[in-house]
Amino acid sequence: MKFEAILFDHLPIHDTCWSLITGVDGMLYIGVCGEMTGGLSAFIASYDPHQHKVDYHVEVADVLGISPDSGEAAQAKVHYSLVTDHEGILYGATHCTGAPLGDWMWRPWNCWTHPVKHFRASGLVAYDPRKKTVLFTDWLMPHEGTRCMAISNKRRKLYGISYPRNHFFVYHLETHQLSDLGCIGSVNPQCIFLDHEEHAYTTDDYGNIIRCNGDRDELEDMNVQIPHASFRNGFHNVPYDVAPAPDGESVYGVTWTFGERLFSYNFKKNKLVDFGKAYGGEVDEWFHIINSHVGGLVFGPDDRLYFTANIPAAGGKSTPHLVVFNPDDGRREIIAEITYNGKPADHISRAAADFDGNLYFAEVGNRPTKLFKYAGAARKSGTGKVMRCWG
Amino acid sequence: MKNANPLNLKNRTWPASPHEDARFAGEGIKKFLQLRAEYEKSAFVGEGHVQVRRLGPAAFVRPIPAGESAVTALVRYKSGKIYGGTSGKRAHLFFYDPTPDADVVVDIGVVGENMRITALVADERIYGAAESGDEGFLFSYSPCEVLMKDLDVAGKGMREIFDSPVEDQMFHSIVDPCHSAGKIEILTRIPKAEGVADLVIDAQRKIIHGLTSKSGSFFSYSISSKTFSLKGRVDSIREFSRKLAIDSSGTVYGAASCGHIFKYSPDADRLESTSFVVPSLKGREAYNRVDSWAVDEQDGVLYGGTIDGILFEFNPPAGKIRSIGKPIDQMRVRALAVGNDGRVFGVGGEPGKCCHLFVYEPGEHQLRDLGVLLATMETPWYGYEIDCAVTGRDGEIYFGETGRIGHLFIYFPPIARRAPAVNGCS
Repeated sequence: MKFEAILFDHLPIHDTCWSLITGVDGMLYIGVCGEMTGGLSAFIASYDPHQHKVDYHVEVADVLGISPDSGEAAQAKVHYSLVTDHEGILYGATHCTGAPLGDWMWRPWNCWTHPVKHFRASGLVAYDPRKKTVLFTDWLMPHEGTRCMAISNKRRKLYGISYPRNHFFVYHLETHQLSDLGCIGSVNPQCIFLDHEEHAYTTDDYGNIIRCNGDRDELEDMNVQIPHASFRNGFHNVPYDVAPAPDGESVYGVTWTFGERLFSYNFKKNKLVDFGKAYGGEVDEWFHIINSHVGGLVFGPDDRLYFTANIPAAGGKSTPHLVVFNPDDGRREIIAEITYNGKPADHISRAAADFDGNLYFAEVGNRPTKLFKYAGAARKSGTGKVMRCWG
Repeated sequence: MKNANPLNLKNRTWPASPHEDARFAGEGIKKFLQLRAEYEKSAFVGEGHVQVRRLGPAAFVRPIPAGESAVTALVRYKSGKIYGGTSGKRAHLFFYDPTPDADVVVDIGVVGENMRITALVADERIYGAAESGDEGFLFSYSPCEVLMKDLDVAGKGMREIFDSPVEDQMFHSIVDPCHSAGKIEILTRIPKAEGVADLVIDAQRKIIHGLTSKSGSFFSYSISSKTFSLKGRVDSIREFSRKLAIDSSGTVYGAASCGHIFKYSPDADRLESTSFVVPSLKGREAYNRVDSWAVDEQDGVLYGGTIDGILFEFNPPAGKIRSIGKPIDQMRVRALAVGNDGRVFGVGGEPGKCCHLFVYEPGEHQLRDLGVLLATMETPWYGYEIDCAVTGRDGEIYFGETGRIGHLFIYFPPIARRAPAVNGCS
């Protein structure tokens, strides 16, 4: 058995784990979400790698003061918006897609001004897991969710992107003030990443890298475009997942579906390297994004990049496989198909590593929702922990 | 600061998802999937056709940059080209040539920095108003059609003569793509540290009328004599609407405090109050403002939209003003245009929310919410913030998008099917 499944079976209706981060205490923290059923709340849960124990810390809608029967669109999802500061405080922001209790579908455009069914705003929760205390809550962009978020520890800011209007915003943790820097496109990038000076990066609709200058809170065009498949024109080719590299001056990322490209971006040199299709050959069909999906990027203790790729299997369905990429020679190899009880997982959103070098992959689209633990990455002596400051 | 509530999850009763709901059991799940598909599309404009254009020929150059591309003024030129003005770190003037061999926006140039172009009007030239802080000015733009008249070819080389543009154009159906644009000039600065809220043009008399931003002073600028004259304040307490309308006789209309309509009669050269009051929600009369105007040039009727989100009809010759209704469940009617067939198209909605397109069909007395603007050509884009509109020569409606990244939206209203032939005869 290559993978050990860690189930969130106290939340049997919840169906997705979008956020997964490593805390400064070595615990894994997870946003457990429920999207397909109306009226659920997102939860912040943890997994203790040493005790092999799952804990459920925060029922997000409850601490935000939204009762399940409020009739409002549910605070059911923490997307790529769970981060930790250097003191171990967790910050999670909610995203919108969950319907109100009793409703079976919901979209923001349909309910923007609905007096009851609207999504109030993205709710921010600051939580201290050591003291099991919610430090504060706040509301971010009105009527919008937060698709992804990053934290600048030294600047004490959160960077986020709203959904659906796709505005880049900055939230100042000391003053609790939000600055809306405006629209960056029509398609949400799935990741904001930081450089060594904690400037924030993401892209426009065509994968052109935009930097939020942390000194001035201004968006700047970096004149670099992340790669896209030759048969595409770059549209919707936004970053899906980005992992900090051990060298401290670059990141490795993958684009969002349909000919997804693996790339590295050296933010010190503003230089991009295209490693081509993340794994395998080009796929001709584009029926569904998870048929062509790469996610869950994390550097292992062996300084190799691990990620998951949905690869077409017999019968047409694509299933996630763990792949390892060696940055030194560009070689990729499949480690194993990710399965649970003999059935393939659906797809993987994010990944994280514990302090012992074990890797964890968060699954989306099955119940109960779960993590997959992989313990097979070899530890290389002298390898340090690389903290990820974004969701 | 509060302790997280202890989570007792084991004894929870969880709701059912649709595929477990008795209503959608068995084959019923297909009904759910069908309803969901219809629901997801239903928020967006589903009749007619919507497109956007970036503010620049994206095949060749970058569009007007983010932060400089909020489209805040539009006007149609006699050639059918649409001229637009932007606001932001730099305010640009641009034109859109709708002809099929062009079909792109061309950035003419920068009018000023940290500036808002508040209005554009046109006769032989394009005239505009811009404001920055407490300063405002009027400017003119002479397209190549105008510059050509004064072109002196004497002494010019062959290539120079052959390359002289006869009109503003964008042409890329040939091997060498090219474009041409004219010249921007400042006409006059607005006195007393004021910006300009709006302009209208009396093309017959060659006079531009406007309203200053702070004091609400009505002014006129004579194109032929190049003289600027203040005519007085439209409201003694400076509560006024920022928009003006002009009818075919040259009479200018606007709204003073509480939505009381005033008029400027060119022959009398005088501002006058009228007895007409713009409709408002009850109790909000004091806040009433006209957000947008549009004129039906065919019958002289003026349509207005208010800050309450009410569409109204004002017929000065008939001495009537009436509320048509409130087309969407938001405040504001930010842009209005009358189509070639007399239908009135508008966009309402509050800043920071999600604007909706609506239509008023005078023949049917029908007011309908058409939904959120969403286009996929020339790039997929949502129209969340719209602040100006103008009707194109062929009846298409142009909307100017504001925000950090502005686009020119083009709405093609559906063409009604003709009535069936009687007894097989057409």
